Amino acid sequence: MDNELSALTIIFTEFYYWVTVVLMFLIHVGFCMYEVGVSRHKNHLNTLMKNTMLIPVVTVTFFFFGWWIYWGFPNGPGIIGGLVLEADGFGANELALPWDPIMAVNMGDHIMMVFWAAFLLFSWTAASIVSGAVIERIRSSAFAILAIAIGSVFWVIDASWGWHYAGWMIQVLGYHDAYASGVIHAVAGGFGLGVLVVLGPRIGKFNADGSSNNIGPRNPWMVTIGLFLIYTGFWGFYAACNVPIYDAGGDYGGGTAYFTATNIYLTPTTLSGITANFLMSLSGGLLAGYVVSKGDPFWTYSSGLAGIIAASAGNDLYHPLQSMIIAAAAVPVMYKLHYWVENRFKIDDAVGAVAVHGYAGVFGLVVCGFMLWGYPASAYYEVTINPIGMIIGAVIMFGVLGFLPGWIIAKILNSAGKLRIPEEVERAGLDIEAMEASKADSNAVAALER
Amino acid sequence: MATIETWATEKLSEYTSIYPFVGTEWLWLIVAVVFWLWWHVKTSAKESDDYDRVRSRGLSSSSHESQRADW
Repeated sequence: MDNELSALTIIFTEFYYWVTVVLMFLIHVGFCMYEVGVSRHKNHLNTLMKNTMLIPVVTVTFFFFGWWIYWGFPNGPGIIGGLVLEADGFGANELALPWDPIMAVNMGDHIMMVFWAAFLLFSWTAASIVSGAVIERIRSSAFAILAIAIGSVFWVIDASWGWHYAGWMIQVLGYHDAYASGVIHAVAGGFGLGVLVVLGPRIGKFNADGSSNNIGPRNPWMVTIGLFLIYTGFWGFYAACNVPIYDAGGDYGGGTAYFTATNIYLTPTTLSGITANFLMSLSGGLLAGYVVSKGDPFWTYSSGLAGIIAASAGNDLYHPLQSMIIAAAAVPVMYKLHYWVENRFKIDDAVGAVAVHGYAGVFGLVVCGFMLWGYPASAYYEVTINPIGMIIGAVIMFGVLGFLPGWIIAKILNSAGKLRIPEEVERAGLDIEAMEASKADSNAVAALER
Repeated sequence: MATIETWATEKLSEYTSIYPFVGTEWLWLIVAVVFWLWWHVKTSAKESDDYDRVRSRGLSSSSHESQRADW
């Protein structure tokens, strides 16, 4: 940084991503509150700690190998080329190894680790989506392994394929997913469904005749605040998916400098426009959710989130009214699918995560293929966004990199007896010993106070 | 061990890594990976012990009702 303008650009970009990371932290706070609010009193602490501890296990593994996967796998490997083992521009593979000097405080680089952190927060979100679906009967140690699988491996592979500017899905399929309808939400929803199929429902969820019971939410206020915090963090997520200052003219080979914000694919958008789309898609989701769920707070809030997720794939280019309508259209689809899958396959998704993230995400990808049909998917490759490519992309996200790995890993854990808690513990509650200890303390203090 | 011995302006542009013990990253990585794997083994074993203890007590689904602390 030898002049004020380049220093300002670099430090602004560094600070920009730093702010997004702090904002996205609220997503995790929101998920924790939401899950605890949905869980029953006898499972509160376990539910909280299960979600909290995904933070360190995903963080360290994303440092060990997750970030390396992102930069190493854009070709598949084996689909359009091999592993990317040498640096080819910023952050490429060898630079993302955990022992590389650039993966630390380094006076020659101000971006690497704050960009790593932004991606890491996406990883937490992917794992946290799964966390909510499986509460009150999964072993925390099993969930930690599943969290690493989705947070530091499978979502990272799909990001390398469908988000990296040179990912094979962009080059071959014309895949476009600006704010991660598929890259995070569909893949995490699919992964969660794969786990739920093996894990089974909570005791009491289904009656002998096959009909289902609602379990909770026990604390609607925590659910409410949790979802508001997730919305808030989602702002940071949207900003984190952008590059704030980019010389599109120069870098596209035009020879004339043209500075703009871009999406993750380095194609132009504006922070201003996506802010409107975020709000309009939130509103479309809330409006539809309120009607579809007949005013149920749990599903109305969740529908707001589903609305954003459904519009996210194309929210870099949609008109705000288009965002709103797409969001509203997604809600009845995901809502009906949730109950159809629940009753047909006896799937107990405690927080509706598969529906809100998975089904809405898939819906968003498919719609994006039609809405943005013909737009260039990249400034660097001759390929356009198209419905077939987006439908194949949705199958890859939800099915190939989501459902299948979740189902396989859950099967392995289950066959080792390490997936589900014992029935007696589920009935008594995961917090029973902590509650007993707290009660004993309470009695002792009360006795002294008399 | 200090990687940087002066913040003199003429040297700043030459600096890259400024963390201590540059060149020992592999060693720190090995320790970190071992700690991470140990954590999984340790917490999984403790979890199994906790479940075995609760199972052996024959508690019911309403046992927790009498255990709410009056704080």
